[in-house]
Amino acid sequence: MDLCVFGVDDGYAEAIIRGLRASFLTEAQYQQMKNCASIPELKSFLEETDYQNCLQADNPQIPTSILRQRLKKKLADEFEYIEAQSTGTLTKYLFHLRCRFMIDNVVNMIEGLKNKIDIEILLSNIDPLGWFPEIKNIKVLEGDDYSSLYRDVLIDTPIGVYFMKFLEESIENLHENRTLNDIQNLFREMKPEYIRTSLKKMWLEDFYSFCESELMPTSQEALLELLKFEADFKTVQVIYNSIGNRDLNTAAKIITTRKQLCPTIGNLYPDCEKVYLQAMTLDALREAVKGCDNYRDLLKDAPDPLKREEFNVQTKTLDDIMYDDECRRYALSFDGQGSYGVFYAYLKLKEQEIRNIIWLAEMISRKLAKNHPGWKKIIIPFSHLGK
Amino acid sequence: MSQQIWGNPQRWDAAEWQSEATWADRFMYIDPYFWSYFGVALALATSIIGASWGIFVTGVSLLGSTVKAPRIRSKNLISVIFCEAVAIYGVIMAIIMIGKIGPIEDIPTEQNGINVCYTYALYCGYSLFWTGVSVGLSNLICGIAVGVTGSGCAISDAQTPETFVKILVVEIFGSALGLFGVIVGIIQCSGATFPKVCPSA
Repeated sequence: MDLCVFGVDDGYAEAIIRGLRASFLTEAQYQQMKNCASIPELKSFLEETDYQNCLQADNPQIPTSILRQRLKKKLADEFEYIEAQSTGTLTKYLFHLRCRFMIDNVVNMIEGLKNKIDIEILLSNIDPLGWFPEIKNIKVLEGDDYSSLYRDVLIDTPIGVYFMKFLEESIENLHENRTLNDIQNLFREMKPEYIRTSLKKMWLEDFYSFCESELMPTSQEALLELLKFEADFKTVQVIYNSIGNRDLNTAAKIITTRKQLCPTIGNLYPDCEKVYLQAMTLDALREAVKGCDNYRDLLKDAPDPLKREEFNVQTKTLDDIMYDDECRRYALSFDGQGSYGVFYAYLKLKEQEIRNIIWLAEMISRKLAKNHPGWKKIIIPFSHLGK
Repeated sequence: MSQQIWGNPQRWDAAEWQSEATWADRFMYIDPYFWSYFGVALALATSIIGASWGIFVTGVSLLGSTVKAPRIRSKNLISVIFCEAVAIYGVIMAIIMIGKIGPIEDIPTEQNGINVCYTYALYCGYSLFWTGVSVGLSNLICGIAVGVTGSGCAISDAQTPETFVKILVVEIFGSALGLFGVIVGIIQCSGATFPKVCPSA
């Protein structure tokens, strides 16, 4: 029944996404991009595709970082347009999607502030998708008082609720006689990757419960599967990265870190939880996930993390394998009508496309030989559909 | 009240009607003109509800996908035309049905004549009511079906141009459903006319 009434509120926004889907670059266009000999050629090629308007103002020899900013700004403008045309549940949903980028921005800003980078430079480098008005308030007060930064400024941001949860969890883990100094040190020493992964895990769980409670069945059908899959990927990545990690030297530390960073949704939780928490080698990890989906096939080709030093450009890392499978799933979600999954899939696939373009721009600017294995490292969205 | 126009005036008088009439009697003496006009309203109104539902569902998707893919504009107006056809079916049926309703000029006075007259009128009234139901409901669902399919057509045309003609075939089959309703409706109400002069027993 929700197909009959989907058009009332959300039909227009979904239809815009369908029109935008036709603007993805095809394999033939990627091939032409690979044959470009220099950055100005790449830029003039991009101006003939859907990206025409965003690059017109720059000079031909555009640096890669500016190129990335322009492409992301275009995506952010499109997304803002769609968010403006949406109403009700869809607006909440789209805002939730953007929180992921806000997390990235805030963590980057905090890292930059720690390293005493000028705040203007930081503000110009933020991801435009994750822009929110309170981001200008993030600065460190005198005395490097990070705890007040967390307490006063970050709580007001839209992602403040995740920061609060994160702080509560980390403070719990300190020993009993914690002093103010300990808390200060905690914030100063915390690794940005750790903060980022924890916050994203909390965001994912929050998003999942939002989808479960507020969306129609047609949307849930597509979205819950995608989110569970993303959570499983995060879990596998966390475990993979913690095998042989030099910072986690005791088994207990490994298990607590894993428990903190692995999402509590998804096919792997809670059935395989005990097994994967204990996995200390790649084979043990493969054993742990073998019951689910096609994860066993995915991990078959993954390189051994204990031999991390031997990775070079040619190895297909776990990240590459996972991105491949993820893109296939997101492309499939465009096959259904009347579902919110298309918004999520569009965002992710467009991000992948921007990553591809930037990668190719880097390869071109370094003038690498055409048989360099790096040329094959891009993952083209919708490529499995044979178009 | 109906029993004064149609009923047996010797069998009931006002007080007796209040106390002796059963629910079946009261149902039986609902005026046939009520049934017939209600049928006309049903045929017209529910067909138009179906058609407008279809149009708004299609129109929204059409508008949205045209923003980025303007080439689909003219082709996809066919879906809107199919939905509109459903409303036209409803109007045609309503006009046919109205033509069959008319006052009875000459009501006889003796009991037998009145009963016969009432039977003919009831036949016509019921026939028109249920014609309205069958035409109206089938057009309602047909309009929704064509509308949802039309919105899918616009969307997939914006994504992949080759799919347009294939989905149009689905829409054509969908719009045939409304036609079935109209055909059966015409046959259903073909014999039913309110008699101008009461036929004799």
